[in-house]
Amino acid sequence: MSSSHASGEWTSQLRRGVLELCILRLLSRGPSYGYELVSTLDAYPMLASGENTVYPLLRRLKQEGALETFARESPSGPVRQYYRCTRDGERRLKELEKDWNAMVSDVTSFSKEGRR
Amino acid sequence: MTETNPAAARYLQRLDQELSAIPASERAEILREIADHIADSLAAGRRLDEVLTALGPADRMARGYAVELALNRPNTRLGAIDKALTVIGLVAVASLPSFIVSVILLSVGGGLAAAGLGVTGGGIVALVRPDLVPDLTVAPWVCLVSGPALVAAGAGILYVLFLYIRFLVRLTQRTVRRIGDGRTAR
Repeated sequence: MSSSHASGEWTSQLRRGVLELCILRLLSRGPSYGYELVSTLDAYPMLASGENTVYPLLRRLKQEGALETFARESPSGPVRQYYRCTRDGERRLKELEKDWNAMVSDVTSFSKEGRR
Repeated sequence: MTETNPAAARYLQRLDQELSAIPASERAEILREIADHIADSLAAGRRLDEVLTALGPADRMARGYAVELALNRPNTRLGAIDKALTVIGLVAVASLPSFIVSVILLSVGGGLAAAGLGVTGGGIVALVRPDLVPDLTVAPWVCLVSGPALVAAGAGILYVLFLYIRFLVRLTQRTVRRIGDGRTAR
């Protein structure tokens, strides 16, 4: 890793917070199962969080009612536990996206002002 | 397929042990999900040791679940009997010193207030009918000033007692609520 310990810690906290948004976004597009979700996230270096972050988060979102599970045959054959977004999850996603967009725009304009 | 592989089976067994705080049905779902993940990874052509390395040590995985599910954990709530026993225990431990403090405050405050009333009354009588209290050694106005002062001091102490009892009631309510949420457990 090229980043220092401090910035690595910052990045992992940032990623952890954003991960909830990304998982809800992915599942609002259609049902998916654990391995597929992990693989999709792995394609984005800033989002690649590791199985021991993604799977526990999925359980929490399910417990909180943002996600629900159902059994379905996966493309590779066997029956898999699929996740899908509930109505609560969709609502949560909208809130998180609103906050995220506000955060990005605030940080961006804040940084620009600083340069003047 | 996963079940027949000893390394994968060992990993799942260790994870099962590490997750012992999570209720059995939830734990079974988690284990099935991780077993599915291993099977899917192998089906995608990844090597088992690679897959297990990516999953990380079983205890770290378990900690991930503990951290996420701690926010939302119905299973560690105390049973009704445990709750009742805890409340009785707390009240028993807290009540003796509280009882002593309350009795002291009540008797001192009450005594001062009663004495103050008596002195005030004496002062008034001395003013109106001096012949009734011929052996009064101080001037009546001393009684009229010191009497109400004593009453005020007594009332102040009784007010402290009131605050103390209110504090105890609120503390008890908060503790009971926290026990209800299961947060004081373990």
